[in-house]
Amino acid sequence: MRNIWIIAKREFDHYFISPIAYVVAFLILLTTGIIFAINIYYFIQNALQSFGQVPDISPITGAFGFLLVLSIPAITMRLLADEARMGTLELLLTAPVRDFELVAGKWLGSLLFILTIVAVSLVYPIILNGLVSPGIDQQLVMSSYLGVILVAAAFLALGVGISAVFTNQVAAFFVTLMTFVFLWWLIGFPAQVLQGSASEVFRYLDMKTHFYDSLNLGSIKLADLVYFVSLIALGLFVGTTAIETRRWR
Amino acid sequence: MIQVNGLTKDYGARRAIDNLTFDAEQGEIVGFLGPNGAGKTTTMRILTGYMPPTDGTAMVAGYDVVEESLEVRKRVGYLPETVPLYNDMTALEYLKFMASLRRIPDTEDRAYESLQAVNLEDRADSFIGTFSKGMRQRVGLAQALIHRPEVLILDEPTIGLDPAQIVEIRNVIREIGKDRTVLLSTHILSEAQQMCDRVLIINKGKIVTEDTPENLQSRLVGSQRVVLRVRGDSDGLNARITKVKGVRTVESKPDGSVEFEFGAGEDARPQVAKAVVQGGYELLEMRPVGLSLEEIFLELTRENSEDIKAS
Amino acid sequence: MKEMNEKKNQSAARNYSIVALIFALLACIATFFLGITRGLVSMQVFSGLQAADVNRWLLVSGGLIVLGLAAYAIMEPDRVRRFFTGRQARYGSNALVMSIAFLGILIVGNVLAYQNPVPVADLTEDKTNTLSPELSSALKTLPTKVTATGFFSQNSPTDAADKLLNNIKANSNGKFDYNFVNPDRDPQGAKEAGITGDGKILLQMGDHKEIVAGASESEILKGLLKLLNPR
Repeated sequence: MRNIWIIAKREFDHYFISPIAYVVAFLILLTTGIIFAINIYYFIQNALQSFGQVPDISPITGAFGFLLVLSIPAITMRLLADEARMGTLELLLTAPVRDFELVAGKWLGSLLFILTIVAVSLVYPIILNGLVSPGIDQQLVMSSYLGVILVAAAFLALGVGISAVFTNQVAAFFVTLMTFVFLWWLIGFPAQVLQGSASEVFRYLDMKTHFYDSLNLGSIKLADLVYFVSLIALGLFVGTTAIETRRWR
Repeated sequence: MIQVNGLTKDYGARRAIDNLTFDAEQGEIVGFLGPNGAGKTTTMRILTGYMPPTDGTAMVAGYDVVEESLEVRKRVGYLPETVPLYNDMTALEYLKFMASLRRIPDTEDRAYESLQAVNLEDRADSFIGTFSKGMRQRVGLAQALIHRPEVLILDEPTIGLDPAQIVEIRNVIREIGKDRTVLLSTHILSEAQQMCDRVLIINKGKIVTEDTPENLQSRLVGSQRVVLRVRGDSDGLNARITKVKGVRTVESKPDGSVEFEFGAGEDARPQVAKAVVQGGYELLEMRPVGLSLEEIFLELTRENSEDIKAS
Repeated sequence: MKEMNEKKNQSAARNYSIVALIFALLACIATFFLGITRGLVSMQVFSGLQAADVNRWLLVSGGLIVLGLAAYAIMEPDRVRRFFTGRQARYGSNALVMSIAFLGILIVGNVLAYQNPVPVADLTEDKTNTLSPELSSALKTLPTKVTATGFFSQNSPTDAADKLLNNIKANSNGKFDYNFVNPDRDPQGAKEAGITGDGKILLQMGDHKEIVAGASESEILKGLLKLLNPR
């Protein structure tokens, strides 16, 4: 189990010398920053008419979801595809490291990196809390951020899993991106066309609803937690199986 | 330390290794000698726990490579042919990383130790991306040694090195091989001759033959070759030697010496010496010349492929 | 000469065997789309097609898959045999079984969680996200979708109503939706709906309509109950 941490730490350090990681971090923080600024501006303009409406950070965390769909493929594409390309995968697979530990370590490392970005974005609720009196709904902030973290963790796990299947980073990127687009946007459509339990199934599978309709609103439901944990498990499972099959492919 | 029995590996329709059986004892340096594509890398990958065989068994350090793969990997140091490394890490960082994966408590000390063993301690903080091929090879070897394994498996460890570096690596390997088991592969025959206690010649996935370098030489040489040198003019010398009973071939060498060959068991040297002296030549030197391992190797692999063609 | 011909025949057979696989793959894709069509037909999306016809087509494409695979097996018997036996198959089938089991566990877990909606926490300060139990059960018993239209002019801010309606929508499993209309911009629509005044909400379920005086849980609950039990 310690191997997971060793690999995670190395990946985490590695992100800070990779240009793509910085680009992703910059874009996320810039976009959320702009949204934040616009949000504040709007509320200040309409302060008199707000009738006691309190601004919260759900536009920020809401935007996070969308940003993660676009940026996580760039973060995970190299994780295992690169090792395969460089040949270092042979080193890792002949070291006393279980396949699962390798995949989980990669996932954890990338998660820690995303958590760093998320931590930086905490300035927004802090600023907002200072601007608004008597302060914003802090528990809502916690719930929304928990949602962001869960979405990120799920996406990262799927990204790592897909990266393990491919040797080519670009292929990994595109397949990951398509998968995310599918899960976040497309999969909800059948729900509107179908009826009955088929409709419910598709609506449950729609990742957006598990975030926007609950965590971003402040309520934590068991089904949402199970959903995200399931996706994480699925991603890690796909990754581990892909690595295993590499051995006897 | 290593016991291989009936090892077979198929990649789809292609059989990379076919029913290999061999052993390596503790403290032995065993060489895998064969042309490219013979199956050396495949065998090593199976022994290091990287992939499972299609058939057969292999035990390394007392553990089965398939059933107890993790135990095998703990006890094996492996240097792949491609010498894969992380270019964006320094040599020290890389070795510390590999050391921590192997649960070595004092990773920094051990990393330095390994670097010293391969004479790279002054480049500890340089990025591997800046290293020359020889240095990369040495880092790879340092990684293979870092956990002081019982078994070392080295795939073409001296490939691409210059002669000075080759000597250095060979010394390191010989040093290590004193109390550990080393299995190395090469297609440089003199290397196998110099470094290995035993040589396995492998071709097209099968073991062609197995023996010590010396035995191989004497086994395969069905005849003996001797070179002699006379002072001054050597006209007519060859004709005289040819007449000696038992001599098979006589050949003038460009450096003025004469090489002749006779069948094993029919030592014609005394007769040749007599003939030379009686002919009025001054015999300066007469010494045996061995069939180089290169010739043995070519001979064997040629025969082997001829056998395969005929069948 | 004979050897050369044999070799030629062998490579020709290899090429054709791939054709058989591609054929089977195309049949697979066709079956997939036919399956979707069948589903859509049963929902009466396509009025021109009959279910029986689609069924027949499905059978045909299914048969084509089998045909393609059989052809491949005939052309490359060795390969197929090795696929099913041999260590690779054992690892492969092992991986397959594990995958199915794993997916099964995930599906069961999620279904259980969905059917037992245990709220782990409602972290909003005023617990705005948890609907009153009466409203929750009212939403559950809705036979069809309810659409709420809030008629808010420029003078009435929609934020509070938006939050409330959004919350109801989020907890409604798709049975509740809402939108806003500005009666100043669309006086006709407001009149047709029978709305007078500002800040009123129209609840519509099928043909039934109810007008609710304001955006509060209790009011909406009253409106929904009236929709459910029309007098």
